[in-house]
Amino acid sequence: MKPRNEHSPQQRKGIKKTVAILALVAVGLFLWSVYLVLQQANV
Amino acid sequence: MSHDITHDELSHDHDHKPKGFVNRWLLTTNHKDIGTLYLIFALTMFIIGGTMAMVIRLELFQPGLQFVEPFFFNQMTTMHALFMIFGAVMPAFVGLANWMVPMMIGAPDMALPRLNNFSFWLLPFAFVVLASTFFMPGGAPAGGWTMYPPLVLQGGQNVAFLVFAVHLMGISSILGAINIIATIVNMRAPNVGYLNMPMFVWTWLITAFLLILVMPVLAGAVTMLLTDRYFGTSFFNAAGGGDPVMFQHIFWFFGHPEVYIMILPSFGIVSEIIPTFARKRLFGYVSMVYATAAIAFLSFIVWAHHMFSVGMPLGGQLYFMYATMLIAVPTGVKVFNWLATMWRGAMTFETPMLFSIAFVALFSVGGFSGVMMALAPVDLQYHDTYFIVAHFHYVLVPGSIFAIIAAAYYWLPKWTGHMYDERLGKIHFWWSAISVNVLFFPQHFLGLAGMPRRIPDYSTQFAEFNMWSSIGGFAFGLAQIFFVYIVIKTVRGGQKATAQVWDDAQGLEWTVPSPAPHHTFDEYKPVDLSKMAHGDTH
Repeated sequence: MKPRNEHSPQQRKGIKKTVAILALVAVGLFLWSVYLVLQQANV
Repeated sequence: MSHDITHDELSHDHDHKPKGFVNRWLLTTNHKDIGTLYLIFALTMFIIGGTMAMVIRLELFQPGLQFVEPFFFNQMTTMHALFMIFGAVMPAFVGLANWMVPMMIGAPDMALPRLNNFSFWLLPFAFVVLASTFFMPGGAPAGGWTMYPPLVLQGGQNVAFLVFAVHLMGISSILGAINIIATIVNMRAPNVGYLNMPMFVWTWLITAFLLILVMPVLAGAVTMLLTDRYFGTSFFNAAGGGDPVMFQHIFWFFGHPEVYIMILPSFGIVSEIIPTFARKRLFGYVSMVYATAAIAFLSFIVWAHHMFSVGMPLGGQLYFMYATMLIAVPTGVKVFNWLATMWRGAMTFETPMLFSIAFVALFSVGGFSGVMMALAPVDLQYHDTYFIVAHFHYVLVPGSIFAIIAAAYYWLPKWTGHMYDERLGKIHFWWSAISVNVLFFPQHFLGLAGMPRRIPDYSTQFAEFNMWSSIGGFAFGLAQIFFVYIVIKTVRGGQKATAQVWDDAQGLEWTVPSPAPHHTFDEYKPVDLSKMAHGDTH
């Protein structure tokens, strides 16, 4: 029997791309908030 | 072995549920099981957070200090908020998304099922870490859920645990949101376009973007709190060149979209339920989608309306005042669309519909008081009073919580295969709807008369409204215990539910048997678009 929930190659590519973009956005925002405070605090 | 598995087969002996408790629940990657785990977790946190609310209302029943020490009272208000926001409301919505989003778009599961399991299991650990602070010297966090420095940094060793718990919750939310977006973007059945998606899916897609955009900012803010407390930095310490008000800006840049994270999925739920029981297609589907996106966008540019009283330039006050008032426009679009959907519909008033109508009416009460507070000059009077407490509880209790309860009644037959007891459901509704108003409406008057929030004792002039509020609180709390009883009764048995459940319900979830089979939509193939819920696109 075919394994369940197997993604098509197209879906797999799409999921990887979506996750990569969103993870970058998340990490970027974390760093941005720290940068903002550092700037404000004249460090 | 290779044959097409039909839904009928799946619903009976070939359901392929993992055997054993550990495989079925701890290691599960099934979106429905993970959805169930989230919902059970949220209900548990709701009861714990509700118990804290009962302690608060018990102490406030009369002026004077009766039952708890002031410091413990402050721990109760802080932990009640953290448990309800991060433990009850958000996980309940994620649970509903897990259960319903794949079924509504014709997907077999979430895009990243193992990540889904990880997202869930972070949460119990986060709350064990947070709750453990009750047993520490110095007790639990007591500086308010907003964690403003320098107050929150004076809270003993609980700061590290609070920050770590918030990090775990944040990671869970971010991973969950990435999963939901990856699922909706990549896993829809081939012929399901964005404008065929049910409103619940749309609202969750937008909510997931909000989560990804704001949770890292909260993580950044609390990490700096941690280093201020333990590593000698001065991010928010004015004596070291830092700025405590900067924390408030960063916090509310997270906090205001967070408010919409807790309400947008409610809009989606109500947009599913009202058309079913009005027996009409949703009025203005496309405008609903745009209104949701507009609310999400506006939520990013209004944060400082929480901080009018810190002292800001007049231009800043005017900008944040007008931007905030602008949110009433897309919100109004939604309310009028729901009313137009009901207009001349062949309405019936089953329990999910009753909760949805109460949502529209009572959420609007919270919305109106929100517009009042948007006015910078008058907000100086309302700030930190019970008027604020009344406002956000109207938005969150007969708002978010009523929508979650409506969703539970609406989809419970699909989840369990049993109809709930309609008579008990109606009793639960009237009991809740009356008591919630007795609980929160008097708090408007208390706030306008000047009663500050987060105090265990108060002037005798506030006694009567506080007494009524507490009576409403106890009644509302009991009503939710009754709800738990109804849910357990439905899970254990009851009249068999059909696949369709509700006569005029639209959507792919109603094309699969009740209870929904462990695996649905195994094959990646087009679905019948005429079963999709919404009107003005086809």
